Amino acid sequence: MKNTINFAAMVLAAAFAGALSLHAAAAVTSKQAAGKSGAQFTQSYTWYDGNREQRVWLNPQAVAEFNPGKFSTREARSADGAAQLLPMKRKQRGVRMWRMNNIEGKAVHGLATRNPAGKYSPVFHDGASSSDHMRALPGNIIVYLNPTWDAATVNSWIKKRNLEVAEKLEMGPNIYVIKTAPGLEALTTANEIYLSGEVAAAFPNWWEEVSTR
Amino acid sequence: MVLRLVLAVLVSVGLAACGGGGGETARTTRLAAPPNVTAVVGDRYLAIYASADPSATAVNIYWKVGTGVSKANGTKMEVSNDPQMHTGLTNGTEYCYVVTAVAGGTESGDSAEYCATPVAVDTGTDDPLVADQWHLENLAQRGANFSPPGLAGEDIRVRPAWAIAKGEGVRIAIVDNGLEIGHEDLVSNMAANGQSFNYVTYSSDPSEAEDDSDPGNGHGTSCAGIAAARDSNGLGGSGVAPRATLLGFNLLQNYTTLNVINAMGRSTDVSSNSWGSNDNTGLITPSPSGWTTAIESGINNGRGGKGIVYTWAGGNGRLGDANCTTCIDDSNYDGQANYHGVIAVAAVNDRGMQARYAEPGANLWVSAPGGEWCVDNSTGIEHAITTVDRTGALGRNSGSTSGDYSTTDKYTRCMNGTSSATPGVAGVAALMLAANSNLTWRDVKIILAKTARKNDAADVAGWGVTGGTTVYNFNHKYGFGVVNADAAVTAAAGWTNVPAQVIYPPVSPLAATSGTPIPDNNATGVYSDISVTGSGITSIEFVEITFTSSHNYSGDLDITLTSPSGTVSRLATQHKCLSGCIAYNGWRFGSARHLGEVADGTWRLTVKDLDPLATGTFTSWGLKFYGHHP
Repeated sequence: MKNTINFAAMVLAAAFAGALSLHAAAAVTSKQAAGKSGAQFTQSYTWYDGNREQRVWLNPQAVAEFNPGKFSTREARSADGAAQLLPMKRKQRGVRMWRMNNIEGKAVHGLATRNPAGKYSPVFHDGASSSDHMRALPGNIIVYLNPTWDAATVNSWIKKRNLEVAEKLEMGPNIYVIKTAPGLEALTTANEIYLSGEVAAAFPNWWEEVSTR
Repeated sequence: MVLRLVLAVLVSVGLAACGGGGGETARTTRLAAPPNVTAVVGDRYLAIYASADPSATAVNIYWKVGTGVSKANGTKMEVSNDPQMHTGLTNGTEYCYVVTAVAGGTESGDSAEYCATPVAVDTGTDDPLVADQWHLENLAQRGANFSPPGLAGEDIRVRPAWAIAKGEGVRIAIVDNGLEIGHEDLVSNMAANGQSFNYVTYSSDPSEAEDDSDPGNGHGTSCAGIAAARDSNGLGGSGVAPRATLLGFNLLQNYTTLNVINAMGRSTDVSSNSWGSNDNTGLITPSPSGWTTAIESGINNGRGGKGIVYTWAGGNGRLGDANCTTCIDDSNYDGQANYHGVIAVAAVNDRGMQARYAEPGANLWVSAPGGEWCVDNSTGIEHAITTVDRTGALGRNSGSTSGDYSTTDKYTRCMNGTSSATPGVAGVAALMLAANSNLTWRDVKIILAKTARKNDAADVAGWGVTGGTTVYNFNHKYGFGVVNADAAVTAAAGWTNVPAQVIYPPVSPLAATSGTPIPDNNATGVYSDISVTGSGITSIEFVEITFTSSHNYSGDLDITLTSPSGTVSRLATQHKCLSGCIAYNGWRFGSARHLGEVADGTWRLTVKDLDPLATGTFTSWGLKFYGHHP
């Protein structure tokens, strides 16, 4: 009898502890969620800012358009008839954010196909919420090569990887801008180069939100 | 009979007590004439100050040349500001004034007559709005709506500095969302021949687009005015460095990594940056690698190796968000403002106290006037900064904007923020470089720290001193204090450059691992020590602290650094984050707190978890020192 009571007590205690643990976990989750607003995203990507691994979440209901021209609205609505301008915390004239269905990237792909001169990108956030810091990919990546490489070694590496140099930056030795298309190609190319271990850094040319003070 | 007589006497006494002379009824309140009328004398202008009876809704000012003025014989002025500017006068001629108070259709009697004579001022300006620019010279001016006056003397002490230099030959880059290069009070100071840049049109004109209706897009123009609006041209006010050369870069209209690198690398002497990550989130935001590399290039290679001086807004995130009032920022959560290569600037108001929005931080270097809001019923302090505004109805001041100047749409009295403080310090740096072009960016920083004025004396608990041979005052709200242009320029003129910089360790930070669980909701916390030897630094300029913890709600953590000298840097305090706090994973804090101290010795990082539920471990931390010897 005593053992049964003890066992039952243990079961009850375990259940109680489990409930407490669940409550604590829920409270922590609630703490993390406090203040979050807007849609919640599930698909994320990794990128590398120097040697710092970073994560961004894809917003499947938004598209960024860079250097918008006078037919910007017509182009956007050709991809999604319901496309509407997405409010930004602080507008920037060099970019326009569209609220449109971009599930599986179809809208961006379609826009880029119909308007090859245009620059469209999926929209990302630094957290899983649409209220988190927003960014997008206007194209090109920045690569920090081995600073001791001479010009011949640099050229050989670029040729081996079939890359095209947009410009050499003067802020340090062997820092180059490599051409890529806008959108995910910039992210995947930068990651592939960084993870090859052949470079000191490779990261996309990000567009980001910014605030005046 | 007796009762009626008593009542009659009582009534007549009551009436006599209520009434006065002058035919007033028993129910009329006598409106007093303003008791204190004074004027600030300027070059061809006078600024009239009059404190009105609290019951007054307006004042009238009457004037004439010579004594004997009254409301009966004087010319009535249109009063729209306080002080009220009387411009277009003749130097050497005496002008006399009386002031009356007005309330509900009733006008008081005349004040005592006050007379003053405008005179030419050698180091002053004839700019009509300069009397409003309390940040240049605080004469206890009032703000909008006759709000209480500021505290005389709470300014950047720039007038005496102008006797030495006004920024001639020094370039200040305003990196912002635009700059109206043709503004009447900026055009004379704009750099010639395409040195500015527009990141949208790729032209050399960063002016706001004509159809740009976002009122915030006059921000860069206003910052440019604070730094270097032209003086003595009879227009507007004056910049801190009124003869410096301005360059404009509208980076914030197309904020990409490559454009950031380009803007930070532009050829200039001083770079003023009143922008950054979103405020009022409580979030930590690292500095992007491209930005860091560009700043390093600027400070090491700019200005022929003497380094560009970067001023950076310390942040406006002390008020929290409407959805989360405890989501408050510390400037050290901003990876750009807390970087060793910039001068992080905090804001004070016209009483010399921390502006309501201004973030604290161990990384702050100096403070400068940023003002409060020009219309703010909650505090009664309605005094912001007067500067240029984007011309026309689309700027901050349309000419009919509440609380702002009603007689012009080219200027505003409602600019504020660490955005305003930052170009102020950029202007002082330009004055210093004009006085001594051999200063390196480090010399500019050290002189600013050495000469800063200890403000807000009542904050006894906030002020401390550094622990080195040369003692500096430091306050986490103000850095080393409010910038003092007079002292800084004087020091700059006779300055001997500091020795070459030593960085220790030269590559990766000194590291220590801990692996100690941080007790949840516990005020004692845990700590880890790093012993530093052989650094070669006997005078620290800046300390970088890297920190890693598995605690996944970083806002719970209170983190302090204690130096071998016993001084304490508050790196982070317990707070909430708007969208959930992320963990500190190699996060870089910065501290100016230990300026002048010796690096060798034992340093202690203490971490406390001050909020329940989320838990984690103090994983590791590291130190990196910037300094010199001796």
